[in-house]
Amino acid sequence: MNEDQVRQRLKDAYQAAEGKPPSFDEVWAAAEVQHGQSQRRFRTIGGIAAAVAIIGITLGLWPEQQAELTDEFLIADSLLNSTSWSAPSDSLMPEHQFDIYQGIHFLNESTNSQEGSLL
Amino acid sequence: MREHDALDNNPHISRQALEALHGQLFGWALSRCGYDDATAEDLMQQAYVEVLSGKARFENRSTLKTFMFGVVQNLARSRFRRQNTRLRIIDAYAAEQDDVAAPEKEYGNLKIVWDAVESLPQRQRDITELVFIRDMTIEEASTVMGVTVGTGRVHYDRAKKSLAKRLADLNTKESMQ
Repeated sequence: MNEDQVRQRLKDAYQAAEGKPPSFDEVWAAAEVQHGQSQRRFRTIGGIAAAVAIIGITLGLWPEQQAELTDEFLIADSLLNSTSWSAPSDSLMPEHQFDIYQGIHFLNESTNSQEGSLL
Repeated sequence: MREHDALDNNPHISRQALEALHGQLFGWALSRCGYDDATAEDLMQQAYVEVLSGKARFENRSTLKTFMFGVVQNLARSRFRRQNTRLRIIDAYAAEQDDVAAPEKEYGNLKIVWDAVESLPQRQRDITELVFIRDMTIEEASTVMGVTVGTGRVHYDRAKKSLAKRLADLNTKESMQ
């Protein structure tokens, strides 16, 4: 039996076994529906994930924002309660390196007067 | 070039081109799943979903026919692999595979032909089907099967010789009738 004869025998056998294929349109439509469903499922899952992410970010930032507001109130409150004030430029002035009154244990004052003035 | 009814996720594939391949592809799907119509149809639907979604993407590196046959082959392999894992009956499955490849045999002389086909090892059976029945070249068939062209050619030659030998009696028998 040559190659063409074998081929023909096989074709006949397969043809008989396979019968008629299902309609392309039906299989294609079913595939499109399945594809559409999986896309919708994907979008829904994506939407839920995005919503969860937004809620998470919002909740994660909220305590930080609250802390910032509290800090602002504390700063304002401490400024209002303060009785001392210094100019911002004071920080530029040199600091005293020694106390000029440190070695003087009494005030050089006198109650004696001379010609109407205190000595 | 994009065809007018090209798919969104697969611009090199048109619905029309798939429709032209449908019959042959169904035959291939049938032989992948033991000639069970429902499973083969399910396999076809899954193959089309893969193409629609772009999970299986055709880049014109082979013919569309080779590509689609490969998609069906891979889907069938992964499906049976999952079944194997789930059921853990690999030996039983292998035995079943030998059985399922045989369709109904009430066709007189066709039984002899089917017996000859069944006697071939799986790869020889596959390459015979792809070349003889699905009109592929040995190169295309090897691509679908995932073997080198050299290996494909060896399987093809052995299968051809084996079939010719087994079917030789058929001509004699018919000429005597």
